[in-house]
Amino acid sequence: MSDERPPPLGSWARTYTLVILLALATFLLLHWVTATWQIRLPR
Amino acid sequence: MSWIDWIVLVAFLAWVVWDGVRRTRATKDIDGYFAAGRQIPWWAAGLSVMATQASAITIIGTTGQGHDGGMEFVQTYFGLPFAMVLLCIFFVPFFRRLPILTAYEWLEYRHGPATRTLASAVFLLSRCLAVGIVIYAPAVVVAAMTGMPRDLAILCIGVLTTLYTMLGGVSAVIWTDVKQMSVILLGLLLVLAILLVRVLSEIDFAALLEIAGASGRMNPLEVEPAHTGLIPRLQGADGPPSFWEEKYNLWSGLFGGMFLMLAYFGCDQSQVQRILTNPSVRESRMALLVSAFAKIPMQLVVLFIGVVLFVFHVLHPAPLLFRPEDRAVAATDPRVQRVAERYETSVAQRRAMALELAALPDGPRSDPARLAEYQQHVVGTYALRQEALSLLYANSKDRNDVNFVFPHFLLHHIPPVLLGLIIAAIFAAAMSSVDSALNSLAAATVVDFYRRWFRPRASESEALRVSRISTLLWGSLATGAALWLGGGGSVIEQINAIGSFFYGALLGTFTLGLVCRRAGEMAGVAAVLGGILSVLLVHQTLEVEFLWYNVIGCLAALGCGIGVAWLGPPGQRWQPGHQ
Repeated sequence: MSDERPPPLGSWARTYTLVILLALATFLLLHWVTATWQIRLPR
Repeated sequence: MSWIDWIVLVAFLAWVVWDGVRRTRATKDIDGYFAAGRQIPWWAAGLSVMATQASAITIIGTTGQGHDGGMEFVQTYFGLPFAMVLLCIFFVPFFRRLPILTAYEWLEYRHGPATRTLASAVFLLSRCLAVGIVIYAPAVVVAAMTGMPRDLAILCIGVLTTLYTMLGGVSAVIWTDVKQMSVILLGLLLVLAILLVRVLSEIDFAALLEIAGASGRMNPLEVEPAHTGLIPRLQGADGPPSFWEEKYNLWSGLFGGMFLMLAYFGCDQSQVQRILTNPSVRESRMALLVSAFAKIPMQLVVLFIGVVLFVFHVLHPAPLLFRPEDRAVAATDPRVQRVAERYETSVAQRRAMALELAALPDGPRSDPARLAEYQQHVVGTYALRQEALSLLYANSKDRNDVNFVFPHFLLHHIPPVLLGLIIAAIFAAAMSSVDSALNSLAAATVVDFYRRWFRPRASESEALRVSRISTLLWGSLATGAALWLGGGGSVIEQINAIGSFFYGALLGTFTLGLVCRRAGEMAGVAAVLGGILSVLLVHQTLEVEFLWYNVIGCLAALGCGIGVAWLGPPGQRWQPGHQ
C-alpha cells in the first residue's frame, strides 16, 4: 500500500456491512423472481 | 398535448431556472462556484448524484428496454453498492484530505502535473462528446411528444440549463437536481400506478407476472451465462460467441459493473464534484451511500414499468411502429401495410394465448405446448416490428425505436396535467445530467488548465468570471453539438462507445496512486496512456462487451504504472498546483 493509508473503518464497518448484506439480499430476491417466473424465449 | 400540460411544463421549467439563478448570490468566489463553500448536506448531494446519473434517456430508453428485453439491464448496477463501499473506504478520505476542487488535482499531488493534466484532458474530451448526446437524445423524443421542432427542444434544454448553471454554479446544480430528482421519482411512480390500474382491471397481479415471465421479461438475475467459452473471439471471426460478448448477466454486472461504477463515481469530475461539496468526510460518504441503497430499487421500478407496459400491449394491441413519423410514412407504403396486416393477426392471437396461459391454475409451465405457441407469437410479433422498420430504414442502427415505446404510452394513455408533469420529469432528467456535466467541464478547464498553467496568480473575481465564461462556452458547444447530431443516429452510438475507452484508464491511474508507493510522474502518465491504448487494442481486435473495457483499462493502467514505477527511480511528491 501507499504511505497514505486509509483511516480505520471504525463505526463505518457496520454501515458498509449493512450495504453489502442488503445488496446480497436483493440479489437473492431477484434470483427467486427469475427462478419463479422467468421462462426463456426460444432463440 | 393539451394547453394545461404546456402550463405545467412551462411552470416547472420557470421554477427550475428561477431556483438555479437565485443561487448566484452564494457564489462569490471559485470555492463557492465549484464546491458550494463545502456546505451542501449529504442528502442533497446524494440526490444530486442520482439525478446526474439518471439522464432522460435512462428513463425513456430503460422503460423501452424493459418492454423489449425484460429486466436484465438491472444487472449492470449490481456492482454499484460494492463500488460505493470501496470508494468510501479508499477514495473519499484522500479526496477530502486536500482542499481540491477537481479529482485530477489529487493526481498532481500524488503523481505530478503531467498526469493531472493528461487525466483532466481525457475527462474533458470524453465528457464534452457525451454531453451533446445527453441533450440531443431526449430532445428528439420530447419533440415527438410535444410537437415542437426538434431544434427548439434542443435549444430549450441547452440554453435554460446553461443559464442557471453559469450563474449559480454547483450550488444551483445540486439544489435544482434535488427538485428534478423529486419530479422524476414522482413521475415514475405515477406512471407505474396508472399502468397497474389499467392492467389489473383485466387480469390479477399473479397473471401479470405469469404473462411477463412467459414472455421472457422476468429476468432480473441470470446466473448462468448463455455463452460459456472463455476465449474471446477475434473481430469478425466465425464461431460461437464467448462469455465476454454477453451484455447482461450476474458476472458482467458484478465485476464489469463494479469497475464502471468505481470509475464513474471515483474519477469522473461530474460525480466527484458532489462529494467535494460536503462539510465533512462523513457527509461525503453518506452522499455516496444514498446511491448504494437506492439505485438498484430505482432501476427495478423503471424496468418494471417497461415490463408492465409490455403486458399492457399484449392485452391492448400496440402499434407496429412507435415513432410517429414512421407511422406517417408507413401509412403510404404498401409493403409496410402488408406487414401490418400480419402483425394485427399475430397480436390478436398473442392476446388470446396470453389469457389462456394466465388462466392455467398451475401456471404456464403446466402446458408446454401452449406455452411454446405463445412464445412463438411473442418472438414473431417482435420480428414483424423489425421487418417493418427494416423496410423504412437501410441503416440497422436507425431501426431501433425502443426510445419511443414509453412516450407512445404517455401520449395516448396518461390524462392531462399528469402528462405535463411526466414530460417535465423527462426534461428534469435531461437538465440534471447536463448541468452537472457543464459545471464539471468548467471546473476542469479553469482549475486544471487556466489557473494551473496560464494564470496561476489570477484573483478570485477573475477566476470566477472565467468560470462563468467557461460554463457558457461549454454549454454553447454542447448545444451546438446536439444540433449538429441531427445528422445521423449512428454517430451517437460511436460517441457513446468512445467514452468507455477512457474510464478504466482513469480508475487504474487513481488506484495506482493509492497502492503503489514508488509510482511517480512517469508511472502516472504510463498508466493513463497504457490503459487507453490497451482498451483501443482490445476494441480493434477482439469481440468484447463494453462493460469489460473498464476492467481491462483499469488492470492495464495498473500494470503499466507499476511496471514503470519499478523500472525507474521512486516518484517525487508534488504539491497541488493551484494553491
